[in-house]
Amino acid sequence: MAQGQKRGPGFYLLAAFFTLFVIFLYGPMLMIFILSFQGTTGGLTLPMRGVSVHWFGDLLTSTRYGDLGGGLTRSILLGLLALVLTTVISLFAGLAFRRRFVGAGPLFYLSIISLVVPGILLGLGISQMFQLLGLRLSWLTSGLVAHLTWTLPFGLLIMFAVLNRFDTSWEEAARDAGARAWATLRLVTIPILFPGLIAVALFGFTLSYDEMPRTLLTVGGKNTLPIEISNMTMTVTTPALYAIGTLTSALSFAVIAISFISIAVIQKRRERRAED
Amino acid sequence: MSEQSRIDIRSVTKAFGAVKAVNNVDLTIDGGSYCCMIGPSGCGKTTLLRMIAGHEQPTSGTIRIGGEDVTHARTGSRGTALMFQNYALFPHLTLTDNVAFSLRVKGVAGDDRRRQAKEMLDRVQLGHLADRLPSELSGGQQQRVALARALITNPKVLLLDEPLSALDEFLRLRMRVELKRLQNELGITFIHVTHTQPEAIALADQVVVMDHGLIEQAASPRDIYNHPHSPYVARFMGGQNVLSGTVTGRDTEGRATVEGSGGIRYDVATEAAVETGQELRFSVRRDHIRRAEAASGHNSLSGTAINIEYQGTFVKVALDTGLREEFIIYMQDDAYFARPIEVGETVHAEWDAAQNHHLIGLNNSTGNPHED
Repeated sequence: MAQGQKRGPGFYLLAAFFTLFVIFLYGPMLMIFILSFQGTTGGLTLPMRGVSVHWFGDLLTSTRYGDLGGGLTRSILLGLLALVLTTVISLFAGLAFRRRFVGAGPLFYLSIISLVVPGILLGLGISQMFQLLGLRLSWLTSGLVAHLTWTLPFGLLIMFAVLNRFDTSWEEAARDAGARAWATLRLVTIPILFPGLIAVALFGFTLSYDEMPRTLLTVGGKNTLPIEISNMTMTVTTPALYAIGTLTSALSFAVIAISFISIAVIQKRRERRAED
Repeated sequence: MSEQSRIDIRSVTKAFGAVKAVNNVDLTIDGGSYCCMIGPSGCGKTTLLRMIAGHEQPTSGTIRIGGEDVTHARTGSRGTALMFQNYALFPHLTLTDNVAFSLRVKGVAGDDRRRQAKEMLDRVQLGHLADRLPSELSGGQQQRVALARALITNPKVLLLDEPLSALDEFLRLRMRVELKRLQNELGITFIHVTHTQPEAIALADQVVVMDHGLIEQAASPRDIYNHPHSPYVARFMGGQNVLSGTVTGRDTEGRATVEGSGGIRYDVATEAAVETGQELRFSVRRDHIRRAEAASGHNSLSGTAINIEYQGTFVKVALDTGLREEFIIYMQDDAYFARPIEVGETVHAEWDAAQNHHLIGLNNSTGNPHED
């Protein structure tokens, strides 16, 4: 805003609206964060009766909270698998969709439609299909399939946006210099698309990590973390519930931070190589 | 070198669906020559270039380089190197690695290929920027890198897709000289696609004028300029007025007598058989026209001056003669300023019969001449 120019009522109205938006966005998270440090005699609501890390310890030692550690391990493994599969499949699908092959339109809509179908129905369908085929439901098989129906369409859409800014003459220049398909992909296409691929990978992991509706009916005997937590909310009545919230949020932020740092490091390295 | 880098294009057609971008084209480009392909956008010149490079496959026909059939040979294995219009430098690689790319693909060891790339960068005067990324360079510098990357493959044929179009006027003229010098030095065939007439005239040993997927004329710049094949070539290359009339007979010197609009008589030496009563088109160079005191009715034309532009060494006078096209005269500046013309004034123009050039070709489209 230029100096000396008077701010109209519109500015204050919008500022107030934005403040409300931020409060609604981060207020609940902040509340859970604060309450997880509730004193040993404190309850699920304010006021705080002292400050402690008692409930974090309780979470890790007590057996009343179900299989949290196992849920976390499974969720991370599943997230990593979804990350790898989503990135690889989205990359090649995105590259393929650049050609207007026969049936490209219908195939695209078919792959996007699983974003629109209610997740719980999709989970039901997958579990029915597995039973029909005589396969046992398990987080690593049917669970992974269910997660991919959620992560792949997003990965593909991001890939489209990334490829939109990709100039095919880079690949032609590589071919012109004698590179075959594999060398072109390895030395030109993937390195140039790399920042976009990181974005796809991140989405693949986070979407899988907190997926619930599709997982409920496909996970089989052993639960993922979101289902464990969801079960906890019905049985646990101590601030340990908030402690798990704080821990999982911290983990998500850590994942994001690690990705950003690795992107920054890669770019720094490129610049450094460019300088010396 | 000369035989090795000769290009023979025979009956080449490229169809995209129902549209023929290149339509049954025959063309021979001498080894070691500088060839410019010119035409309006969509005329097929870039498609033809890309087929020579192997980025497009001809629908039918054959392409030979140095006598070897390369119609279906893999891109990058046929002795061509293409310099892209937008340069297509790899944004993630330094200039050295960009230039060394083809060596890397061939499996040349790291130190060796970097040394060669450095030498090539020195050759285009960019050695001091070898470790920069392409995004840190100006347009002119990026172009030199693209040139270095193409030349390091030791091509028999260098293909240039509108190489100067992204540069400003000053750089364009400098790079034009540079390209010509490089071609002389290397002795390989250069094929240069452009839509700028002065560029083609200045650089080429052979100019190929295209329109609608067909080659209208392939000849030396001097031939193209003095003996255009069709009204389209005359208009597109510029510097000519195209006139037409009906053949009424022959004079004693064997020239066709042509009656134009307003009953004006023109004597046109014909380069092909013509019959009395047929329509005939011919061109007259704008710089070979004089101003006359009165309408003579013979190898002349009169009209109203509608636009006058001073061009430094000459003055461009446009006349409205009642025909569809303006009639343009390039007058020497001393002749013009001895008796200046005012807009709205009636001007009589005349020229020697020898200036009438019979246009044999039938393509009468206007193209889109780039006036200068």
